[in-house]
Amino acid sequence: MFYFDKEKQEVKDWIQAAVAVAEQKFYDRILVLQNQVDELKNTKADLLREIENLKSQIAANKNSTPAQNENATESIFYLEEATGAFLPNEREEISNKIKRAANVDELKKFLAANDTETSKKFQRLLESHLKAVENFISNIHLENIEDGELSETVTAKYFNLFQNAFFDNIIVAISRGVRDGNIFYFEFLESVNEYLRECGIYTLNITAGVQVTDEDYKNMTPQIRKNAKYAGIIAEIERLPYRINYLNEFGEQKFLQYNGVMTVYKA
Amino acid sequence: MNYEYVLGIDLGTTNTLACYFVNGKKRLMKFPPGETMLPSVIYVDDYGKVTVGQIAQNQGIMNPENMISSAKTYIGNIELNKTWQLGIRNFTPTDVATEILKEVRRQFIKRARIDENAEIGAVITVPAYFNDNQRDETRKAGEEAGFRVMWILEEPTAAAIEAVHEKQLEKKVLVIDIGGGTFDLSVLEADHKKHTYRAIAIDGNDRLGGDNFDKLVQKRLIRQVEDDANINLESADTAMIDELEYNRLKNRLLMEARRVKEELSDMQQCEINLPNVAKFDGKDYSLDFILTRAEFDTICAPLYDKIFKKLNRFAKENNKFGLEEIGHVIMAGGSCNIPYIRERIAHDLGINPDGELDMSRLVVIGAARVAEAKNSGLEGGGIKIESVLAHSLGVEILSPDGRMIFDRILAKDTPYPCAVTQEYETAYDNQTRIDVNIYEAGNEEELDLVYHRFRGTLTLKDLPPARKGEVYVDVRFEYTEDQRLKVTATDKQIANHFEEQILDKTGGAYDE
Repeated sequence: MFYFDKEKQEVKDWIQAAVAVAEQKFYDRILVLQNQVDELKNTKADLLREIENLKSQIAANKNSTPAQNENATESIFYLEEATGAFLPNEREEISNKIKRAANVDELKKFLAANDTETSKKFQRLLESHLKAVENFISNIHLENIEDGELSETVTAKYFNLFQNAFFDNIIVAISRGVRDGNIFYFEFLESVNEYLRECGIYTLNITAGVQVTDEDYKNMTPQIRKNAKYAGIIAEIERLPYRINYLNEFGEQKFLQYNGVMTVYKA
Repeated sequence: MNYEYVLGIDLGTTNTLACYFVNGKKRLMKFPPGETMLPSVIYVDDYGKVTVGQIAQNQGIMNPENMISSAKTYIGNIELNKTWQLGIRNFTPTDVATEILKEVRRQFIKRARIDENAEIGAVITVPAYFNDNQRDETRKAGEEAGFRVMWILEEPTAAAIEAVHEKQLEKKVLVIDIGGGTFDLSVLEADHKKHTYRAIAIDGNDRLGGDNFDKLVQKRLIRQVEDDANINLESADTAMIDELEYNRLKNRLLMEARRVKEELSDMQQCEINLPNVAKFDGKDYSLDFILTRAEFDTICAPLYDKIFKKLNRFAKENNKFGLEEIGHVIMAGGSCNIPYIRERIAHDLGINPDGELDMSRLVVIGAARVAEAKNSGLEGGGIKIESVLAHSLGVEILSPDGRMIFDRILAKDTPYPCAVTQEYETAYDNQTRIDVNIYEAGNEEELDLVYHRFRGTLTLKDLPPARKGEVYVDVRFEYTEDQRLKVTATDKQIANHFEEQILDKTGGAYDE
């Protein structure tokens, strides 16, 4: 015979204790699971942010000029800033230096070696540029320009020579070509850059993928690409601003600039 | 008054230029990023900050609703009463002109390295057909910008002054000025030894200029692209290209059109070679063809017709001068380089236009020369400029057939200062007041008031009651040297009974 009541009570106590333990374990388990869920939620948020960042970078880099180096901070069109005025207030030096613009042999060699329909068009552009340069050299008459005005006056006319053939046509055509990944244009650009560098011309270094600023509007004409999400971001640089240094009437170094062209996202 | 520094300013619809002299040599002002032209554009950001010129133009491409351009079209035009609300600020055309002129002043101070509080005198040019209010508002813009406005000078007169100075001319000169958006004609009598310049007649069209030529050539280039690539460039959709690519292409073609126009001034044909200028259907497209001068002239024929219809009527049917009196034809504005225009002038007028002057800069250099002369301390500024009225001035009267019509008192092309008095009588029995309604002629051949611009009203009260036609009033119009109209109505019955008014706040733009 059981001492049932006592045993019953003990069993009850035992059951209660067991239940309490189980409950505690259950609650502990819930807590652990809750913590794990919270962690997963945070991880998800981080991952989503990471995805958005990557998307922005992908979109911004999609059409931007490919970088020359692995750091991707310098455009391949970038020409380091020249030191000093290219054409100073000195007749003989000016006379020698402006002749550099007529030295297009390397460019001609490159185009001749890549003989296609497209390179023929560039050859013709180069011919018209050379003609304009030769005309300029023949007709400049430095002796008719006052000493203090030599640098500014001649630089303005000299810089103007590059506008049509190079800044408006060749550079823009190359920009489109490299965007398409066409090797010809990458290689052509190397020759063009070398030539422009020799001619005293340089560029600003502006890259895509960043917020446009008032300074950018001073230096570049914008074109609009509609995209509300990235509104205000520079999507693409079609042409960097091109510059050349000169000396003004007070002997101070200044620059002339041919504005660049950029594409900016707008809502 | 003498100023330490003086400038000539050509405040254009599209671009503004400025010029000054240093030791007798002319200097054209440079504006960032190194251009001699400042786009006549302002941009106002959300905080009310104003930028001017190239940067404003670039910012305006992104947010056109924050940009104001071509404000000169509306300046002084009370009928249109144009204003722009940009953010928290309200701009009138005069305000816009003020901002542009402030930028000119800023850049001049920087360039000349002078104190920002320096007193700078300025001669500012306006189209010949500008009325009093338009001139007043231009002057006001100059003063608000911090200049001491010495003179408001007509553009053709400025061009003539520079041409006469350069070429030592002495006979009557015909100035033909084809600007970016306007076309001015004027005849002046010039004596370079006496430094006198007298305008004899003026005319023009404020909706015809060089920009019209560019657009016609652009259309031709578009047609070539369409033919080559077998596409429709009416819109990005019809061309089946991205809108950005479409706008890029249109802008590139407009730039090329301008270059072509200039090149065809020197050459019989122009090679158009734009490699890789667009992509259609995944393929690179290059525009490559030759445009001849003959084809260019065919494209521009409708513009030529408009120009020469106006010019021939002005030169051959004018009662102020005879064509045989014209000794020289001076051309101003870049579009005057177009060979057809020069040849046709020689053919129609029998005079070869001058071909040696820098036509795109004549106006601003002439303005600077006037500024120098006026600042020279000589009597009258060492230079005498006599201008003429651009439009007839008159009053509203009751015609015998009961209509209210325009009655001319000061005729167009009258040299000023000038004054004319005309007698009028009451129109009704017991009429005790006369409202002298003043008008400026819009169309010289029409009498109906709907063709003319209302300027203001002068009222003379307390006339003695009498039968109609028995009370007489003298109405005197005096146009002063400083380009203001003074109107006086005098009761001829009673001594010292008169009213006077100087008009300064009405007017409208020239219309063809």
